[in-house]
Amino acid sequence: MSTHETILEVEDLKTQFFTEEGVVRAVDGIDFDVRRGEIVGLVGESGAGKSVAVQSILRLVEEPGAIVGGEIRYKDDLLFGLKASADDPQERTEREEMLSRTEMRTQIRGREIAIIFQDPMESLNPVYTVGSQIEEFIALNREVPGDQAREIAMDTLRDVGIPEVESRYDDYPHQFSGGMRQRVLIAMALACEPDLIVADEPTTALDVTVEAQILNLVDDLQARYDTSLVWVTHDMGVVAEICDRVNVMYLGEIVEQAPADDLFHDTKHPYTSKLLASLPRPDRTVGELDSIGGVMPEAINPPSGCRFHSRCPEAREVCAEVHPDERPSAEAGSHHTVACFRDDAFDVGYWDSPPIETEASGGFAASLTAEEGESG
Amino acid sequence: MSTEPDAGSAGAVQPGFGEPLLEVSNLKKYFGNSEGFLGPITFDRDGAVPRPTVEREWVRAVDGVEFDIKRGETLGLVGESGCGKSTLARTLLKLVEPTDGEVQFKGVDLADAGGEQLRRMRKDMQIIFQDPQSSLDPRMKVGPIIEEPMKAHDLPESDPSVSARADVRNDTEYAVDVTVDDDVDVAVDATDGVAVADVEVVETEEGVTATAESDLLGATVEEAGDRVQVTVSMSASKGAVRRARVRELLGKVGLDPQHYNRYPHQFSGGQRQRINLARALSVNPDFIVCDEPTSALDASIQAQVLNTMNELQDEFGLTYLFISHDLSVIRYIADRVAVMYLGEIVELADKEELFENPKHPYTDALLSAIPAPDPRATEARAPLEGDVPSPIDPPSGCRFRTRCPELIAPPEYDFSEAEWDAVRAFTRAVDRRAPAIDAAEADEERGAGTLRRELRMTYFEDVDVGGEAGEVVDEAIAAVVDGDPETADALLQEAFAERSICAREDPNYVLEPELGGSVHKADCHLHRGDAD
Repeated sequence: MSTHETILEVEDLKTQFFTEEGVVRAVDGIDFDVRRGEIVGLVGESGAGKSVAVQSILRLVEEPGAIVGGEIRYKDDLLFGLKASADDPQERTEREEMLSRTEMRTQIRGREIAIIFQDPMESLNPVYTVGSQIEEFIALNREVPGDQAREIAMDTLRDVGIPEVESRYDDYPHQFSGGMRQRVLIAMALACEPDLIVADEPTTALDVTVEAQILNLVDDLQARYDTSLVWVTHDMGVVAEICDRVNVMYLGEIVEQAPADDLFHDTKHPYTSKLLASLPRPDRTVGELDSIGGVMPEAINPPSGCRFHSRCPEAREVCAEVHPDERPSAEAGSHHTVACFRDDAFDVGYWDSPPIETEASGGFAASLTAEEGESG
Repeated sequence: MSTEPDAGSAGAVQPGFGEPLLEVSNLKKYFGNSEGFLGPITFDRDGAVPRPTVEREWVRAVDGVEFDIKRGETLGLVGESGCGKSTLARTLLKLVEPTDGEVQFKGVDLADAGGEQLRRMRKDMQIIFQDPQSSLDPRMKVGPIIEEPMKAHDLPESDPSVSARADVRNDTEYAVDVTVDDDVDVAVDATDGVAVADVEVVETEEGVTATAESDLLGATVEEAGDRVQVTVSMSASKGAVRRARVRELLGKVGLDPQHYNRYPHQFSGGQRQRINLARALSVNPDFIVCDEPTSALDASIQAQVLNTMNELQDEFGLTYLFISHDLSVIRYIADRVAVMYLGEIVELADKEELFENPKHPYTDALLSAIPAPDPRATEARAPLEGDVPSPIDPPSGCRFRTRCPELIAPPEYDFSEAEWDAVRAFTRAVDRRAPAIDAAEADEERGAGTLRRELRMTYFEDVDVGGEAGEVVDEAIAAVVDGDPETADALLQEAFAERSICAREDPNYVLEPELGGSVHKADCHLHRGDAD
């Protein structure tokens, strides 16, 4: 964490999927950045848009999805950016300095930004040996001859704690355990010494003891190589363990952004605090879990105003009418931003607005996806 | 609905709350790993003519498990993937045939129960699986899905041990005599062995009429002088009773009874798991095995489902075996906890006792591996090294000994703690062919002396192991550098690992619990002094 220079900057990113049922606004205007040597968490429940957000960074979003707005900067490169078209001010086209698809492939992915997915079995080709895959990856990205690539591959595999590298080099992915496969992927990500690694739920499929090994490994390697990480997870425990700063996502938006300690101990957004309260604790016995009523609505037709208002125990009329943007919390300072009218940074008359009945406060909505929480 | 056992589970006795409902002793389930007719045949190619040998290897998925589950409690079963949790669950319900051992449900041995008797006993034992999607038929509506187990068991059926009676509200001048059919307990819940039907008798222009409060019952009236004779009987078909029960259950698990006619895909994951719950409850079971029921759900949804499961347990007097890999969930839902490792239960105690006073190093390791949702919880973690050994050829003695951070030193050598730590770490590194060992073995550029010194620096930096043990270590280091880690491994295993009490004796200890509960089973030789 030497320089603290910002290496990735995401501004007002919007990614949408154009489906037959309508436009799914999977990521709807998020801002965040990553500094050198930092682990930044992106946390939220399934459907919050975490994965789409990181796929957008690498421009991996495929049909029928597309990035429709915002700007992504990585160091001096523009990964994505639009400008108003010359002929029609309504229409926007890609900016000239934006990297082409080929440039993304040859200059960014793998070399500068590597990605680790949740399911290591799906990221590895089952009909090639583990060694040959990592070797090919190194040979392509670092432009080294075969022998040397093999040597680097073996060294990296040892680095991530794979035993018997010599004899296991020619094993196939199915001959490795889940934890070992994830180590192989980490080795692959590290092999080209990228400055940023995007990890999309990398420990979710693993057992706790294996997860602990991998988290320790990541800690070690990160300190050694000074790599930055964007860590996508739904697990608040993992966030607490390794993240420096955290972005909490809900339905395509970032609702709270804070250093890890502040997020857990000076929680500002009701969604974050409800999410924390709904977790069973390993370190103490709790009487009853405080669950969040309802389920996350569809991103096709998000609720008006604050998107969490339909499940928020603190919701008032103004929450259903006005959309809160993300602002630095009045109390906590500039490093802690929150999108909730309860914070003094907003002046929309929240405290004078009458409370509304939501699923969390006991209202029984008849819509199908909405009454999950009634019994909770 | 009737809640008492039916005549079908012959010999079964309903135990009281707190008495064992399920007793398991020495349960084993082995799977042959070479299936098929020719699978087990291997050829020995050492001689001039290949000699065929028939040899079957067994995967010991569950290997001698012993515990009981008391009526009304939740027993949590926790362990890593591959430790045999799910096989144990399936073996308990006889969904797979046990290799050996006994499972007694309400005093009846499941091994002896066959055919019709087993089928009827299954009514009392239900299971909920991890993936709520794949356990629901996508082409069936939710109502019929929940109804199906009742159909399979030809429910509802009247319980002969329940008597029936009517509670009459009489708004007429007549005196009322009531006869109630025996089978109304199908429509009205029985309390203390009596089903009470509420009936209202009123006088209208057409004469005296009687109505039963339950839609499923009919009441007829016969006038005789200044008295009326009311007869209460079942008017609804079995199908109608079942459908009414499905609607009731949908409400109980937190869904809308209106959703009877929807398809599973129209529900979210959490709601689908609620449908599975309702289906399991439809036959009024006593015992539900829950195999990772919330692992596929988001945190906030998991909390809702867990809370519902708790409420249903109280309402229906259910007994759960709750399987999970997540200790936090177990801590929330369970009363007692069993920890499983490689086919065996290594520790079993009351929840508080197990979490606050764990006695087995494996439980300790599991507990310290969970990341707590609090960045200030800075407890240094020492994650377990290596992988779970193969269940085909599990380690002798204590199965955790190959990874245990507290492996007991063999008494032959008078090791100090630091010496033993170093020797143990080195023995394991060689056994696993850890990266440092591997690198030393593969290195062909540097001289043997340098490599030996380097290995010594890595594993024996601050300690100097002398005497007989020191000689073994020297020999092993030399073997590794010579590119023969097999010899080194054999040497170290023979000299150290296999001489520990952990390798020589099966641990089996019952300790005095400190924080509640009656017994604390902890199969670890560290407690060989404190056991009863």
